[in-house]
Amino acid sequence: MTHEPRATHGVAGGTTGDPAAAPDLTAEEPHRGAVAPVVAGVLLVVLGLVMVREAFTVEVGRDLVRGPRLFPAVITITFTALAAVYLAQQVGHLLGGRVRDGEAFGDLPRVAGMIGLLLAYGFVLEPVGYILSTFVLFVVGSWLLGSRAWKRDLVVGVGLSLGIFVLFTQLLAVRLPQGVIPLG
Amino acid sequence: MGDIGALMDGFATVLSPSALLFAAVGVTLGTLVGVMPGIGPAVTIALLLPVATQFDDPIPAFIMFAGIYYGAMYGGSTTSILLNTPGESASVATAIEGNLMARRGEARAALATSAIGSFVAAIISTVLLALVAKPAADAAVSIQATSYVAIMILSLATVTALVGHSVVRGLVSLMLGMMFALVGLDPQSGQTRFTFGSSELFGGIEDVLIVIGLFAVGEVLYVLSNRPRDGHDAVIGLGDRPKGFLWLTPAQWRRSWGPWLRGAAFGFPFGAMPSGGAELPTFLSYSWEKNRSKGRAEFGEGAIEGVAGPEAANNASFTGVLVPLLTLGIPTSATAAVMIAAFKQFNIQPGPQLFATSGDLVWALIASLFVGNVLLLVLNLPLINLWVKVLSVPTPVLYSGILVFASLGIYASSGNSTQVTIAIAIGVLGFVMRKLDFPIAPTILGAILATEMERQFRRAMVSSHGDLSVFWTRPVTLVILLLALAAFALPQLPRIVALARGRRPGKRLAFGDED
Amino acid sequence: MSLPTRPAGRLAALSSVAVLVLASAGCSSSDGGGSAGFPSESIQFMVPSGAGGGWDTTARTMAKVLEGDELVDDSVQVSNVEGGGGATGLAKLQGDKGDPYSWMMTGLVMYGALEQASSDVTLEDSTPIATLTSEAEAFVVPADSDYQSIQDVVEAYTGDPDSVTFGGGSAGGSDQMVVGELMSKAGGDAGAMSYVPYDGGGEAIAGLLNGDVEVGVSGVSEFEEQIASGDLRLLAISTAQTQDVAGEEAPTLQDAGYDVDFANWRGVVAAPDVSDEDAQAITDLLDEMHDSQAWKDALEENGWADFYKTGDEATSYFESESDRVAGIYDELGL
Repeated sequence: MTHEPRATHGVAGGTTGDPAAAPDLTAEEPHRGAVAPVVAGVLLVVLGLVMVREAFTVEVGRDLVRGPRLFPAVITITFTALAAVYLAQQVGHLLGGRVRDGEAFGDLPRVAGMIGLLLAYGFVLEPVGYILSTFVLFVVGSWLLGSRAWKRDLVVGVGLSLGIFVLFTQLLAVRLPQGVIPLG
Repeated sequence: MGDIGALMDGFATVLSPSALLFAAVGVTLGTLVGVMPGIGPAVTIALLLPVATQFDDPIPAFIMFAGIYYGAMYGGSTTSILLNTPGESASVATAIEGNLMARRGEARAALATSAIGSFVAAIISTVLLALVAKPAADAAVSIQATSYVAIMILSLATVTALVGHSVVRGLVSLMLGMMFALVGLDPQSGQTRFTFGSSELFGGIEDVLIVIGLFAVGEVLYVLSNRPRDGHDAVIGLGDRPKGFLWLTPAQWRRSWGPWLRGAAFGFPFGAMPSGGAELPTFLSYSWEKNRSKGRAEFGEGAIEGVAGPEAANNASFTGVLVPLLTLGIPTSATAAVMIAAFKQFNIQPGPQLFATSGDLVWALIASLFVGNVLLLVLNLPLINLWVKVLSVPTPVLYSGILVFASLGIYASSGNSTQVTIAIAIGVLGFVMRKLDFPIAPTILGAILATEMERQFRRAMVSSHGDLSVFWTRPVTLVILLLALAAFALPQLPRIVALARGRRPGKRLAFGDED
Repeated sequence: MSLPTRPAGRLAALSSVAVLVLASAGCSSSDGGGSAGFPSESIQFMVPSGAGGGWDTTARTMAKVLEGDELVDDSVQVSNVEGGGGATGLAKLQGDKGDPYSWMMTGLVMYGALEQASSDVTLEDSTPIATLTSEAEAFVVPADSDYQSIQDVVEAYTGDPDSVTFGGGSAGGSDQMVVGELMSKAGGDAGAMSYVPYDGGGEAIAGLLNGDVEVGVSGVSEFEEQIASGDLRLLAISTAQTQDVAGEEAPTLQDAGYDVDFANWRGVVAAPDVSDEDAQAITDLLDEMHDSQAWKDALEENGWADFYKTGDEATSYFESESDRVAGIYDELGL
């Protein structure tokens, strides 16, 4: 509901009037955009079924109304039913040629790159330490987001990671992993 | 209680130049820390409490505390509005219309109605606190578990506006949130549910992870996916400086004051209830404005009512929390728990004895809340122009920064990097939901409602030894349940009547078009 | 008071007393020295729960006393590791095998929490050092309740478990444990208990006052204010030793004829496989802390009872408490 206006948001700025710079967003692959809701519907139904199965492994306890199974069972079954309705709708749209959810997924390789970067951040944060991993997160993240202003990103990255580290550990007494850069 | 004279004495205590200085420092610090995405008011207060408690005298500490709190809350709204990255569930409703306003170039008006609305609500609710604290607390504490269940059902019935233009997608989002809420240790039976053998999920998925994941991380991925490679820095238009008083045009003033008052009316009682919280009243206020207000046609494009109401509700609920805290010594929120800790540092024990043993302090605290609010307004309204400049930070730097702060907020409070990873996974989900046009806010609402509804339902059942009849034999519960029934049925009534007359129904008020 | 994951607490903890000094880099190697040179580097004190709870406050208070009285040259760094009812923290401690500078806060409720979380590691995978503080559990009823004594409650329960509803902190936490132990000692069926878990003392008080639960159980300090005001009536406290509650000497469960001596205690362990010498050095350091005026003041301020056991006494106490919790969990059917 809140997201329709965003479709134009990301490209609102610098590349105005240069359609070639905004590749694979729409016309080239209506097919992928059309199938995605159906795929999502299938995944939702599968998720629902897994959750229903899991809900019924919860012990009932003394009786149903007092025990821990009632809410999981009701919620997962309702979810699965709704997911099935969604899937049916989307299949209907696809077969009927009325594709509503045509927004393409955009630049998926870069989205995947960002997800990979974030997951890596979660893994190395403790062994490598806050400053270095945050610096890399910021600089590579900015690059993925389309920045080519290297010098600026390096400077901001150093300032941001060092600044946060000092502020939080020294002034707010929050421990952040120190890792490979010895400070203090 | 209810003693205006004592309140005036309280003002006399707090209205010294040094006290005003403390309040100003508090507001500024609170805003600066609270404005970081991923760091909401509760965390801000916790982080800054050591600063506020370095005083030997409790009064400057309270004043600073009030300043920090209101500053943090306002800072949190600022990021919700400007960047669509609420730091906690109570700011989610604000983000919905607020961010749309910002994208339309009306960021200043959104920030102004948020600040003034918070101020109005805080003043109203602080007066209520001073006048009716004791009876309000007694009433709030007398609410039984069965009535909470009924209140949750009533809330569910009245927040359909959040569901958006597709009922099915909205409900899928809602149920998804409810499933999130079930993960982890069942607090009653000690069984683990939906953890799939992982001890990291034992403690459940906290609401803040869902909020930060779905909003902050999801938003960044969404923006990224739509940006051209090697793109130059995109800039959102800041819009013209509006002509009007305090950034609001006369029309915006007219459209804001109603939501402010109604928001305060939602927020205060929920805050006072031991299991009420700040989230539900913000969603209720949002729904009310969307369905009932004069400006409802603009919802979905950035309606000012959708910012004014929830912000007022959020602020009023904080003051509501003080009702059971001060009169009964019952802390009902994270912030209240922090406050109890602060009280104890000064050897003050909140509770039934508090007004008798340290009445002057209580009135000074209430007076500091007023002062904190006034200063927030005085200091922050002129800064609105500065805040909107955040939008002119180059997009890569801005969104990369959001990621840094979002993960910082999670790590700083949990000390566990796996929690960061969980939030990222939820962020991927948020990205897909955006792409497929699933609304995000119902997921948060579902998580809050399901947790509370199950908890209260099972409390009621343990207490009645499994006897369901308590839901219709207790008058208060029954009345609320009937209201809920009416709330479900009424929007459908025109349709039912139309069907009964054999005509095709028109569009329903709350659900809009089906797909 | 109960299970360690309490959101409110976590925030409060961030706010607790600051430990400002950064540790010098690297902290893995033990210099293996005896008590003379200990501690020669900063101590990493981990709290296996979110902040603001009892464990966190205790750890940060200890750090403050150790640093303030200059019992350590370097710093004591407190950090929170939340998750798995303490399992995440305990698992992390396994990485510091043999390191006497790696400490962890623990307490009674951790045994139960680890069991509930089906944790792979147990507290046996650590080096016991000392117990520090304890708090008695209080049984209370609303002022207008028919129950005048704890015997009334026990008799009603043993007659028909469904006739009494208890309320307190998280299920399986110390509050429910003490009810379970009392009822099984009195010959009742603890597994049939109707127990409503609340998010903390505050909510439990509301539940007592609105009639959702009949008997409240939680740490004494949670109810003290309402006992003083007359809204709640104290029936008994759980320790064998009596204490003053709201200005009056509290009746104990043993006074009432039940063989229960139960306290919610907190203690310290070090990383696994710490040598006996190093463990002794830590104990010596804690002895100094325990004898200091600052620590006595802190106990007083926080309303903690002194509960100091070290060495073999602590080790055997940890073991007996582990068995005790296992026994209660059996009775409760958790």
